[in-house]
Amino acid sequence: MKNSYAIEAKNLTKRFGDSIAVRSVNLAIGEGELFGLLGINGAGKTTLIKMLCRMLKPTEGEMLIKGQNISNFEAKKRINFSPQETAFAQGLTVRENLVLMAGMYGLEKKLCIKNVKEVISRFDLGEVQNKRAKTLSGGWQRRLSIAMALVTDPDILFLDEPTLGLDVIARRELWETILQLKSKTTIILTTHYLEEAEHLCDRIAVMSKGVITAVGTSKELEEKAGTENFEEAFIALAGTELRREAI
Amino acid sequence: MKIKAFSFRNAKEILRDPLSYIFCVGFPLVMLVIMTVVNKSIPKEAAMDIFNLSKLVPAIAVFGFTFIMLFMAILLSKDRESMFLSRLCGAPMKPWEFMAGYTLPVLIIALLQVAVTYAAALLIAFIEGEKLSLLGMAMSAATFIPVMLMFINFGIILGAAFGSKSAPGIASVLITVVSLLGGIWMDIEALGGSFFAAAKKLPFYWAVEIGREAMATDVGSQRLWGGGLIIAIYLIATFLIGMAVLKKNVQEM
Repeated sequence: MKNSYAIEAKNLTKRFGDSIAVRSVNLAIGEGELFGLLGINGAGKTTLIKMLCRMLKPTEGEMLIKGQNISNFEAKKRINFSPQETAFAQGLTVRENLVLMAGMYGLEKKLCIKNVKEVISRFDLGEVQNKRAKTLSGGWQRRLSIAMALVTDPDILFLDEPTLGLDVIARRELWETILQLKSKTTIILTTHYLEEAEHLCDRIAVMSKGVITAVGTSKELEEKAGTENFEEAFIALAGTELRREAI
Repeated sequence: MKIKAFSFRNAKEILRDPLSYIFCVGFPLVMLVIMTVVNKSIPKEAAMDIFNLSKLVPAIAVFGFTFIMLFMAILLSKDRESMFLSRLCGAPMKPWEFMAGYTLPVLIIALLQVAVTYAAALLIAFIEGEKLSLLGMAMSAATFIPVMLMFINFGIILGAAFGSKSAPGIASVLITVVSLLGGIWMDIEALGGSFFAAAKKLPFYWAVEIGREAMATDVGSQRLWGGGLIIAIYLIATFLIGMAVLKKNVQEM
C-alpha cells in the first residue's frame, strides 16, 4: 500500500569536501502539508532544500516522492523551487518570466496561457505584468518569484526564505498568499522569522549543524524544549550550542 | 518547446541590451570603414593586401564573433550569480538542452551579424568600385558556422567559470589575443617566427584563414580543409569543456 507522504528523505547526507552540510536527515512530509525548516545561518536548510528539489546530488541517502524512488528528471516535473535570491530573467517582463518558466517545464501552449493568467490573477500581478522584472520593488519581485514557481502547477513547492527583506505589509500579504496555497500544494519553506513559521506551518523542523534536532507543531516544540514560548524553544533546540561554540 | 522557451529568453536578454548593438554590429562596421580608409592610404609598393576588402571582410567577421563570445559570457555569468540559472536547473531539462538554449539564439545573432557586415562590405565595394564575389561571401558565411559555435562555446566556458565582473575582463583579454594571433589587423605570416608558430596552434588564425579561402571560392584549398579540421577539433573540445564547467559550477551553487 502506498503511503500518503508527498516527499520523504531517508538518511540524506551532503558532504562538501571534509565538512558535512547535512547529516543523515530523515523526514516525511504529508500531502498538502505546509512544513517549515528553521535554523540559524549555516544550519544546512538551503542545502537540504536543494537536495529535496533535486538541484543538488546527495552524498548519501534517498528521496521518495509519493512513496516512489523516481528519477531526478521525473521528480523535477512535479516540484518547483523559489530561491531566497530574487532569481528571474532581469530583462524580461513579469508575464514573459512566467511564460518562460511554464515553457521550460514543457507545459503545452493552452495550459501555459491558462496557468499564466491564473497566477497573474492570484498574485495580483496584473498591473505590473508588462513591466521589466528588474524595475519592480522588492515585494513585487518576491511575488513574481513565487508565481514563477507556481505557474507550473507543482505538487510540491519549495520556498527558501520567501519573505526575506520584505516590509511588514508585504510580508503579511505574502503570508496570505501562501496560506491560500495550503492543502492544494505541499509546501516546504525555510525561514529565519519564528513568527512566520509559527503562523504558517503545520509542522516545523529545527535544524542545527546539518542535523534535524526536533520536528513537530510549534506547541509540541515548546513542550519538548520545556519553554513557555516558541522563541525560547527555538533557542533551546537550535541556537545555544552553536553560540557557546562561537564564544 | 523547452529549448524554444529558453532560446527566446536568451535572445530577448541580449537584444534588449543596447550595448550588444554597439559592440556586435556597430564596432565591426566602424572598423570595416576605418580599415578600408587605411588601406587606401597604403602605397602599392608596400605589397600589403590584408586590408583589401576580400581579405578584410572575413577578418572583421571573426572580430565580430569575439563580441558574441563576450555577450555570451556576460549573460551566463549574470545568470549564475543571480541564481537564475540555479532556478532553471530545477526544471526538467537535460544539460544539452541548456547548452542548446544558450547557443541557438546567439548563433542566429552571429549569422545576422555576418549578414550586416557583408552587406556593408558590398556597399563599400560598390562605392569603391571593387569586386566582391557573392558566391565567395555565401561560402565564407557557411564556413563560419563552426567558428561561431566555437566562439559561443568560449563564451559559455567563461560565463560558467567566472563571475560577472571577471568574465568580461577575461573575454577582453581573449579578444586582444584573437586580434593579434588571428592575423586580423596584421600579416602574422609575414612576421613568422615563434609568433606565427603559436598562432598556427590556436584556432583564431585558422578561423580567419578559412573565411578568406572560402571568400576566394577555393574549395580545393589545403588551408581551407586543414584549418577547418583544427576548428572542428577546437569546437568539440570547447563544447565538452563548456558542458563540464557548466555542469560542475551549477551543481556547486
